[in-house]
Order: sequence, then C-alpha cells, then structure tokens
Amino acid sequence: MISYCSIEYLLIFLPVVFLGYQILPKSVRRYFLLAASYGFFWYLSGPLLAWHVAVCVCVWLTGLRLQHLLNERNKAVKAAERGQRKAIKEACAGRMRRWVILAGVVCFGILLSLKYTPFFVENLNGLFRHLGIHIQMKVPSFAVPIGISFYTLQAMSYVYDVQKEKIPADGNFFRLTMWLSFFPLLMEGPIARYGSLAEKIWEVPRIQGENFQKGLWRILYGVMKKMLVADRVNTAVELLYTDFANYDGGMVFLAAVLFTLQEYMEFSGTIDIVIGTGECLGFVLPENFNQPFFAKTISEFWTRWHISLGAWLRDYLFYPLSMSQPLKNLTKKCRARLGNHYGPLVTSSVALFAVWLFNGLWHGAGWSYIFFGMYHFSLIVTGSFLAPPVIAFCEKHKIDRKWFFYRLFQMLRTALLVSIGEMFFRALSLKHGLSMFARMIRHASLSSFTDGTALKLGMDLPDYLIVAAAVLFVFVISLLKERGCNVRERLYAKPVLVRALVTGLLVTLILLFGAYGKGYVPVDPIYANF
Amino acid sequence: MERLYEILEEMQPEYDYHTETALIDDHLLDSLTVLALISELEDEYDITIPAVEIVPENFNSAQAMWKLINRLMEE
Amino acid sequence: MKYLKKIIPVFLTLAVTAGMLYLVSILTSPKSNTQEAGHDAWAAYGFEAEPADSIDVFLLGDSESRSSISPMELFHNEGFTSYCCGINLNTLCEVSDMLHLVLKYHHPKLMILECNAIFTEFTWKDAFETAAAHYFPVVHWHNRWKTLTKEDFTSIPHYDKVEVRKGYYHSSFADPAPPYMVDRYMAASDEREPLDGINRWYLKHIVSICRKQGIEVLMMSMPSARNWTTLKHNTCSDQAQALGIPFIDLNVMREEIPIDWNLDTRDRGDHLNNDGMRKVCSWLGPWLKETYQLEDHRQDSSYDKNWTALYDEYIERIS
Repeated sequence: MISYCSIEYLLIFLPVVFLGYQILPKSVRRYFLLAASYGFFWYLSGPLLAWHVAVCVCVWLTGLRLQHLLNERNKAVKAAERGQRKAIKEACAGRMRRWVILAGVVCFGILLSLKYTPFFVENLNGLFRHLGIHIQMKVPSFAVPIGISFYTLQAMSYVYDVQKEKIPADGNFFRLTMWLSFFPLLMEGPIARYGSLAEKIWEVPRIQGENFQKGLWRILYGVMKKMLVADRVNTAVELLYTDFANYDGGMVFLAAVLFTLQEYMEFSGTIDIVIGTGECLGFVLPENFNQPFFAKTISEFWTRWHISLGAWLRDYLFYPLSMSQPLKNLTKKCRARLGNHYGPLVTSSVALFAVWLFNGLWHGAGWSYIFFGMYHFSLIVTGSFLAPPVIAFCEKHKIDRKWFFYRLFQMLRTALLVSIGEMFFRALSLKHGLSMFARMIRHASLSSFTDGTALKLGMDLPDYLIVAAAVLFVFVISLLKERGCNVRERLYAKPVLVRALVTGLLVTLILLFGAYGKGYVPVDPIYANF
Repeated sequence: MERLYEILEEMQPEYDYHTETALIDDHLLDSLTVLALISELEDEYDITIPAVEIVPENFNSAQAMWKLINRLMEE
Repeated sequence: MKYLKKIIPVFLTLAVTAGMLYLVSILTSPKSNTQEAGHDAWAAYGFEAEPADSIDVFLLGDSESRSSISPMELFHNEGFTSYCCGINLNTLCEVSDMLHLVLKYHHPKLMILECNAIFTEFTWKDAFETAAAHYFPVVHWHNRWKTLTKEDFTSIPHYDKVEVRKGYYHSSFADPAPPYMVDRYMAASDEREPLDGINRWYLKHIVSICRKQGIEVLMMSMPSARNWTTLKHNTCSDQAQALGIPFIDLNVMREEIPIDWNLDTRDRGDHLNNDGMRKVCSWLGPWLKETYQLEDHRQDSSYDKNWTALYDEYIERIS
C-alpha cells in the first residue's frame, strides 16, 4: 500500500504540488490544491471518491439548512415577546435536530454499511448457527474509500458545530470540500476541526522560507522514525504475531513492546510528515501526539496519543452524553450519596463506556478492537476509582507523588499497560490476542533473550542497536519538547550553513540507516485501514 | 463571585482560583471534577449549561466561569 | 538581492546534502571487487580492473548470460576478448546502469544483450532506486554499515582485482532437467510473451546508447529449458526487428549447439554447466569472430598478463 513515506508522495507528488502552488495565481491556487487533493484520493481509491463527494454534499446542504433555520429563529426571537423566546428557540432546536440526525444517518450510514456489514453479517451467521437456525447469509465485502473513518468524523463535527452555533455554515461548497479532502489529512488524520482550518486553507498563502524549512525538517524527522524504526522491526513483528506459539513468554512480551514501538513510530512519523506538509504550505494542522509515553496514567495517555480522536470523542460524544438530562440527574443523585469524586464517576463511566465502545469499533470491525476499547475503558475507570485511596496511601506513608522515581514508576506502568493493550490490538484476532497474553504469563521466561532466539527474528544485533539509537534520539527530542524547548525553532535561528548541515544530516541518516531496498518490506500505514 | 470561589475550593482545595488561568489546559481539573462542578453550578445559579459550553475557554479560570454563568443567567 | 537571499539556502542545502551522501557513499561502497570486501556482484565488475579499451565484446544480462559463455574459453580458442557482466535477476534498468559503467572504462565493438533479462518485471520505482544508486551508491550499499571494517574508513573504492573467469559462473556439476520440462521446452506457438512498457523503453534506451557510441548490439537468448519459451522467442524477434538489430536464439539452434538436458545443466534445466558452456562457445566463438571481424590478440603481448597467462589458472578454477 502506498503511504506518505513513499517515493511517489515525497519525491513526485509533493514537489509537483509545491511548485504548482507557488507559481499559480491565488485565484487558481486554491482550485489547484483541491484538484491535487481529489487527484490523491482518486489515485488511492478510484471511483470510491463518489462516496466522499456524497458526504461533502450531504453536510454542505445540511449546514445551509441549519443556518437557514437559525436565521429564521433569530429574526423570530427579535420580534417576539420576552416570554415567547424560549418556546421559539426550542421549536427551532427540535427542527434542527431532525436535520442533524438525517445527516448523521447518511454519513454514518455510508461508513457503517461499507465497513461494518461484513462483520455484522458474520456475527449474525454465527449467532444463527449457535441457535440452530438454518439461515446463513453470504458475507459481502466492499471496497472502502481511503480515510473514510477520518473524514466521516470531520463531516459530523461540522454539522454539530453549525447546529450549536459554534461556526456559521459554509455556503462555499469548494471551501468545505477542501477541508474534508485536504490531501495530507486523508489517510491517517489528524481529525481537524472546520473552525480552525477550513478558512486558513482557503486563503492559500504563499509558501514562506521559514515555514518551508521547518516543515521539511518535520517531514524528514517523520520519515526517519518510520524508516529507521517502524520498517526495521517489521519482519520481527510480523513473525512474532503469526508464529507466537513457537516462542516463550519473553518473546511474546518483546512482540508487544516492538509493536507498540512500531505503531508509535509509524503513526507519529506519518503525522510528522502530514503536519510538516501543512507547515511547508503555511497551514497549522492540529497536533496528534504530545509525547504519549511521558503519560503517568492511562487517561492522561489518551490526551497525548491520537489527540484529535480523543478530542473528537470528548466533544461530540462524552460531554453531550454526560450533559444530557438523564445523566445530569444521575450525577446529581450520585453526588449527594457518593461525593464529588465517586458521584460523577458513575455518570462518566456510563458515558465512557459509550466512548470506548465507539473508539474500539472505530478502529475496525472486529472483536479484538472492541476488546481493545473495553480494556482501556476498564483501566480508566479503575484508575479513577483507585485514585483517592492511592492518594491517601501516599500521604499516609509520606510518598511524594511528585518524586522523580514515583513518576517514573507511573510512566513505566502506563507504558506496560499500553503495550499489553496494543498486543490485543495487533493480534490477528481476539482469540490470538488472548492466547498470546496467556502465553506471556504462563511461559514467562527470559531465556530466549540470551540463547540467541531474539537474533533469529529477522533482526541481528546491529539492527537492534540502530533501533535503540533511533529511539534514544526520538526520546531526547521528546524530552526537550516536554521541557518546553522547541528544537526546530532553535535550529532555525542558527546560521544558514548549520541549517543546511541539519537537513543534510537527516537525509544521510535516513538513506544510510533506513530499512529499505532489497530484503525489506516496509510496514503498511497502520491507521490508514481505519 | 465570592460564592463561586467557595464552590471551587470545596471541589478542589489545592489551587488558588484567584490567580489560576489554565485550570483545564494544564489538566488541573479533571473531567470528573468538571462534571461535579457543572452539576453544582447548575443547582446554585439555576442555569442549564449545555455541552457545547464545555470548552477550555469557559473553565480555565474562575473569571471565565463567572462570565459564562452570567451569560447563561441572562438567557 | 532578495531573490539571491532566497536561493542561496536552497543551493547550500542541496550541496551539503549531496556532499554528505557522497561521503557516506564512499564509506559504504566495498573497497575492492572481491567477496571479502563485501561486494555482492564482484565477478561482474571485474572489467574495471582490465586495461582501458581492452575488451572487444561485452555480455549484459542476468544469470543465464554468465552461465552460458566463458570469455576465457573464447579468448583461448578465437583470440578476441570479452566480459560477462551478468548478475542474478538483473532487470533492464540495472543492465542499462551497467552499460553506462562499462562505457566509462571500455569501448567494445559488440554489446551482446542476453534476452531473458528483458522480461524480468520491475517498476519505475526500481528504476529510480537504480538511478539514485548510480549517483549515490549508499542507496545500494547502505546495509553495509553493519559490517564496516577499518579499511572502509581508511581507503577509497579501488576495483583492481583482475577476475580470472571474466565474469563466467562455472559449474562442473550436472543435475538433469525433469522430462516434462524437456518435453514442453520450445513447444510451437504463435503467441507472444507480454512485455511491459517500461521494459520496452529501457530496451530502446540501451540500443540507442550503443548506437550513439558506434557499438553494435546483438540480442541473444541463452539455452535454458526452464526459462526460455517460444513466446519469448516471438516477442524478442518482433522487438529486434522493430529496433533493426539482429537476434539469435541459441535455444532453436539444436544442430549447431546440441545441448543435452541430462548432462549440460547444473540445476535442472535452469542454467548450463561447463559442458553446456563449451558447446555454446565452440559454435559462438567462430561465428562472432567472423561476423563482427574481431581481432585476434593472442600474439599481442599486452594481453599476456590478463589473458594468456591466466588460462591455466582459469582451467584449474573451473574444474
């Protein structure tokens, strides 16, 4: 599968787009960018592009309709007596809700039917078999347009934001489409909001030297993460996840750690390329990672990993649910009995359950993804449940919770729990995942690290060393960022020769130590399948 | 306004609400506290806080919350 | 001035990057054309060690070419010099790259293009990588960072090891082709083996480069019961005609080159062994010499060192 980290994208598509973007006059430039985005979509998905256009048309029309209703309402409110205003508003809200639901049915309907029908039919068949009903349906299989899970969420966030008057509806179909199809965002996100981006892309500013240099560094940094780490561990990851039954617990644990590393480097590396591309053109795309492995708890982890998805779920699922009248009433009742921590915990558990079920299913149609969602749901709820006693315990035993080693313990614990979750996520099926976990516990042993097994996974010692060195490099950069030091900003302030050396060094490191060419299979973009 | 400070201090006594301006951005208030706080504010001021208002700008400081409360009371 | 200020960083960056890639290219390239130095196709690159313009005939292609013809054999019998640049699974873009390298050191009279390699599929990305590796060999040799030695840091590439077998891959072992393969071998057909557009483009490109240099091109298929078919023969015949170059198919010349697929193959009909090679050379040598008017260097003392004097060693090596 093609990825952003490919010759096609980096050395052909991007230069052509940059060049065309720079030389064309402003009036043509935005349509050129739109054409480039649709061209990119077509290259990846062909005629499936029609589904994307359908979603664009749907949310465009819905937005206009909602805006019309709002305008009518505002006029009516102005004219009406003070006492009647509330009734007018409520009537309008009801009508708007119907349109929003309609748009939701269309957008999520396309997503569900293309992506989830096979899973649904399979399970229905299984259920029928179990019940002894002799009905078996043919499992259909559909081609799914690229990035459908990403742009559907973006489209719905637009409709919701218009409904809630956070943004005015966009009358310009092309501006809206541009934001929903902007080529760097297509494959792996981040899930961008209309309000922060659409207007800016439509302005198509000229490419600036400073942006371009910094964007280029960001792209190269992302390519480095992917080619030095994600691609190099790929053979070992493939092997361990297929043949885990031939290895002991230590190797299964290695599989969990290597895949977590691979996924982070692949996903965040791709996002670096995406954001770097945007930066070169002069757009600020939303960040998707914020040094996730410095997180001290699972819930903090999810505010640092795949941020745009977490934020979407928070704003469009968690808060609307937990602020709905039934749940508000529940909060009130529980607070009275259980206090300010455990009271809201009951309500938020209900909302979180929905969030994590959605999160799991969003990643893919499969029980292992649902399990993945429930795994994190349980960890987060357990974490909140245990928080007060842990604090009390620490205070009683005079453990400073800001102490370095306590925080280090928290980070390592979080990383361990995340890695185990990723193992279920990557396993070929839920059954595989469970047996891997069982194997890890039951056959726990470190002997395969010393008897040479670890070196027979398609990685030799230098491979491990270069992966370790690259991870250390990324760690140092992350640590600097965590401490508030913007490395690229500092480098850009240096003389031009130093800047050239930095660029040259990054390119050289990639070409020298990257895992490419004969004998290497690059990892497919993991999130592009979602 | 004074009552708001009291409510906040009841919820989470650790911070100085007269000076903090990044309660949400710096993760000082977690989502559970926010839920409890909203429930309390709704009771106290007889308002309904809709989900769209739960954005960092409205909850980052006591001042911002006070503005929000007043806006909602007027409606 | 403002324009200059914008352009300088761009050029500086490109220059610095190219410079660094050049340095690591030198670092990672094998320092000699030997297996010990880490070269993956050391035999094929031995022509760099031959005196400039001393080779009359070059043979480009994949492993079929280096198993069917032995330059030392041809020199001993006919007196003209040749070299086999065949590399396993070589594609046309790699063949074309090899051609450019050959022309840097030699100006042969004849370029023989072995035909099985014409059909090997490759993508424009492979072509791009080959081109990149041409300018920055680190693209090809980058995995050698794992095995770099002290020599790699202290010396520069120097391909001066004279190859005794001149690129020929010898085998005195016989492993018969299975009967079904021999039965099906060269069965009559009017169909054509499909040839990708990119393969066609490279074929044309290779021929036109040789033409420009005044080098004759000959398309030739080597005997292989496993790989060669009438379909490929038909396609090659069409292509050769379109390009206006001769094509000879050793697979259809059973009287001139009577390959016995029980005795003359080392790996079940895929490649020839020494016996098969001798059958090919005993017909091909005189034919080439006559057709292309190749000079006899056996009395020329300047060929003593690299050819005449090495014959005994060659015989010893291949047996």
